[in-house]
Amino acid sequence: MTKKIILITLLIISPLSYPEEVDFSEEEGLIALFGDEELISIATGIAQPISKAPAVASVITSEQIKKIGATDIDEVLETIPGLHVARDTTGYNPLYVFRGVNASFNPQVLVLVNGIPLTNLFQGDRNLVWGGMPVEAISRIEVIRGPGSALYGADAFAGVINIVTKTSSEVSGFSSGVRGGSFNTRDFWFKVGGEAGELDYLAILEMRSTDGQDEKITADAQTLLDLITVGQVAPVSNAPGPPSLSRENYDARFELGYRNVKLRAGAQIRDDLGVGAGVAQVLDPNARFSSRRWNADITYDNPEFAKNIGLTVQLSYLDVSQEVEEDLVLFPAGSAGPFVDPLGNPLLGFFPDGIIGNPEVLERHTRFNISSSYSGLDKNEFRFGIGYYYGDLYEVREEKNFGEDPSNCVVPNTPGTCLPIFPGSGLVEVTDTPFVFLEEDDRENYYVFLQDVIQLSNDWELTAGIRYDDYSDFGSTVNPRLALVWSTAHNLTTKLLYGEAFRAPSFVQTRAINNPVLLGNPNLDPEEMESYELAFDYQPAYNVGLNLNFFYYQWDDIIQFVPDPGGVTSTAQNAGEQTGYGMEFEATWELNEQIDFTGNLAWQQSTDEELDSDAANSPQKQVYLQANWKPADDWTVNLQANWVIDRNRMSGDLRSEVDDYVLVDLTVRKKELFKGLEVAFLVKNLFDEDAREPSPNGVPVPSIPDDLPLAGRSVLGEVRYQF
Amino acid sequence: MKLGRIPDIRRALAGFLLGCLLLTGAQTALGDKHKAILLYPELRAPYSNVFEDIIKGVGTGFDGEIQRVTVKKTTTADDLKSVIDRARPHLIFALGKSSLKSIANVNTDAPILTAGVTKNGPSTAGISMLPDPRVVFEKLFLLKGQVNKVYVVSRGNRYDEQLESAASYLSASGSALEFVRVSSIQEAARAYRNILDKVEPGDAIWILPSAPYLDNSVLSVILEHAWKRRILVFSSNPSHVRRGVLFAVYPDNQGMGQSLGKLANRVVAKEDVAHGLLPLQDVLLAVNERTTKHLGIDLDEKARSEIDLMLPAR
Repeated sequence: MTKKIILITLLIISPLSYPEEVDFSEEEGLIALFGDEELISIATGIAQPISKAPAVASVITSEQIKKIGATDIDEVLETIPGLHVARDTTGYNPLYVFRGVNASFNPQVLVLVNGIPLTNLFQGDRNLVWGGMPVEAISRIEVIRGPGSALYGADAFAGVINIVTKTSSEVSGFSSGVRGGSFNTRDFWFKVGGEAGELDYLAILEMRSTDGQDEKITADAQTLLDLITVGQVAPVSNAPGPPSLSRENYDARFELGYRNVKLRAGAQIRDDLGVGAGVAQVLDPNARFSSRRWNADITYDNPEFAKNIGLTVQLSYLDVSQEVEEDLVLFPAGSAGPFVDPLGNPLLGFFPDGIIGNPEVLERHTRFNISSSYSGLDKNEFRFGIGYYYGDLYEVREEKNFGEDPSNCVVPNTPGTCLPIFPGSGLVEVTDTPFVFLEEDDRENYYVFLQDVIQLSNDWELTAGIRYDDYSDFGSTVNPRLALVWSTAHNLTTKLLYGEAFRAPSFVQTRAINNPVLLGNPNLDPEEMESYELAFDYQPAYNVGLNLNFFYYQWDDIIQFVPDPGGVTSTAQNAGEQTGYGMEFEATWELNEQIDFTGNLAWQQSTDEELDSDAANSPQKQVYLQANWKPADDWTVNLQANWVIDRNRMSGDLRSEVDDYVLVDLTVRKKELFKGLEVAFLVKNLFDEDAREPSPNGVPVPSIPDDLPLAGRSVLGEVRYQF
Repeated sequence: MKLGRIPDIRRALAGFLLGCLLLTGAQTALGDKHKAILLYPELRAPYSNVFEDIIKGVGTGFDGEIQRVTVKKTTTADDLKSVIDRARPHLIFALGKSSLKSIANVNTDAPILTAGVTKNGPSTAGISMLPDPRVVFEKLFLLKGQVNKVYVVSRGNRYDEQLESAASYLSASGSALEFVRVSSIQEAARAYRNILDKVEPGDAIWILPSAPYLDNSVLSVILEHAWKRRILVFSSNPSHVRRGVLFAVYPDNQGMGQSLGKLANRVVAKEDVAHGLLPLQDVLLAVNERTTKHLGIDLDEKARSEIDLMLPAR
């Protein structure tokens, strides 16, 4: 019987005829030998094989990034199931929302470049002055959903995004490109890489200048203040108006490699950066941020350091700044700001230059770690590591024309005893005084971790890991993880995962001072996360791949600003609790050599346990579809659609649910138009959909009631040349 | 855009580029007494990298001077003839089938060596992209010390010579090769059915390079049955490894180039070199770790050190 089934199956699924002696082209001949183009890339060292971590993970390669026409990592990350990129009001900074974990500044996500964190001490984010990240230097982006503190330490909480940059062999030679189009966007990049003897070298420079999108925000916080002070002064709000999203970006990466040692250095310069929808949710077309970010690391990596022993040693340095290039006008000229009585009468009068606050923060981060693998014990693979981190928020600068006047105090140099700075007084420098908004401070962290991959039987493998972290400011924490992986069938793998994680309180949460409303709390504990996942990786046919996972998480000790009894201030407290469950499903289908499809579906149900209501602002459902078509040699047409569904409002926010949206992008690419010349045509938001991300709730009403509009249709042309 | 900042960046990069050029320029070897022309096809990346690697290898293996000539779609026999007449090479390397095809139409006295092909004309020596079965079996025994029988389906008589050599190598190692020659899709289906029916744990199924009448869905059926009965399947196509075949060998392009360079040294020294393609000895090894575990294969230190590509990667 079995015999018959096999024969029938083989006959049915086999093609009807084969040409006897096909005259393969050169490329087809190589495909026949290596399997596919990706494996040719791997075999010739221009791509790395994708690893399969015992986690729910996705990897997007540079080839896939190019295919979808992405020009910034946010466009890539939006395609990952269970991950949605929402927007903060300040700078329209990205909020990487994993599985319903959504909070101000988005510190619950760890973003790494080549394994080195970008996390800033100030807000726990990637810098308030972010300005996006271009993709030309990226080899692949690895995204782990769920907690990963047992390996990565702090902030590997809701998810981990590791950006791996290209190596010299991936760049190989000299290439350059330009891109331009809507919103006066101009991109330029060039890359050079190669080897000289045992030395390999790489340099990549990317530049972008843009005016940013022009969809209008209809009303802002000043619109409301204009209403409150109506009749006393003419309205001064800049709304309706577009968010201020101009910027100039310079990104440089250099790499020198010699045997097992790699020296990397980079710079990310942001200039002329608009403030998005404003720091105080007030449109300000003239304010500008800037930022300097310098990084360097030296890494020794030898998987065969000694018999059965691998060794990695890394020393890294990151220096970041948040600077103000043009005054941050929190409320525009002629505004009384929030200093009004309940009847709308200004308490201090109207500020002729507006209310201005220019906060600047400079930080340094030094990391040293050693990790080693040992495979000498039968059925076990150990990984052991120790490390040290020193983060120094070494300079806080501020000038402002509101708040307490240091030169007019009852008790000198003592906040709380001074008269206010009156309108029209000009900017007052409060740097290095007790009146500044944040204390300068540092943080140390020592850690040790151990992981063992135990082969329980032929098809069962258990990964058990634990990490101990000790922090100079909030004490110690221990985080384990367990992953049981079962090779269920030749085409099915089942994973059961458990993990814990912690999120270090940011300095704005522990060290904010002199804010009239929000106060830091030095006694905060880290936020905690515990999660369970069940995942299936199934390949029902040679050209079809399916992934399905279910998850449950509990997020505890969420840091929130809780109103102080009897006062107008709120202090950061470990107050919140959220639970969530859901599923993610992914499918890939190569219909034939010309057409393939990718799609995913994510669903999550998260609950704010404190308020006993649905967690806010994160999509409960997301659907993503991508079709890729090669109509002829060297031509590709890529169409993708991203559908963001069901975003709740916060409890107490009376606005109706945020509207769903579908964004469709089209990329048409022609390689080898002439030798080495490639051109592409990119359309983002093809159907000019009115897509919006939720704006925060406010009292008495949200400052920006109609949410944050995303860019309408935009068109870009791209030319790249390989010399 | 503020232009003030760009010149600094430009200067820095110009300096860097100059440094790179000096470094690479210093490497360029000066002419030697033997001169060779190297023809290679114009391809896009990543395909071009295969030939770049071969060329790199030839450079390290060949003692003479090499002049590279790209063979484009538009390149004519006359173009090549004039290049050859000017250079008067002692030897011509023709990499890839389009180079070989182009040079076949050019009348030249210089001996021709080829690589990057799977078949050639009777008078051209060179190295095939198809691995020597002996090398494949060395890898098989590296991973699994003892194999009883190796089953293989072959089309026509294309691999006869190699299969005979494989059979004698296997029998010397205490194993046996059982091969089925097929000439139609139906015969192939029957052959695989018979093999799946007969095969025992301890046996292996070998999927030949450019395997006859085997498409991906047939391979899926083989892999499913092999998994259930813990049968070892190996191949010469690394993409099969990703799907669950235990291992595959694939060309070590640089190593092959170096061997070709050394072969060229013998040709220009007028030593006797056999006509036809030598089977590929320079191979790399890709292994599926999941399958090794399922089959209960413990990868020792030696085996691990010989694996060039572990799929999926760790």
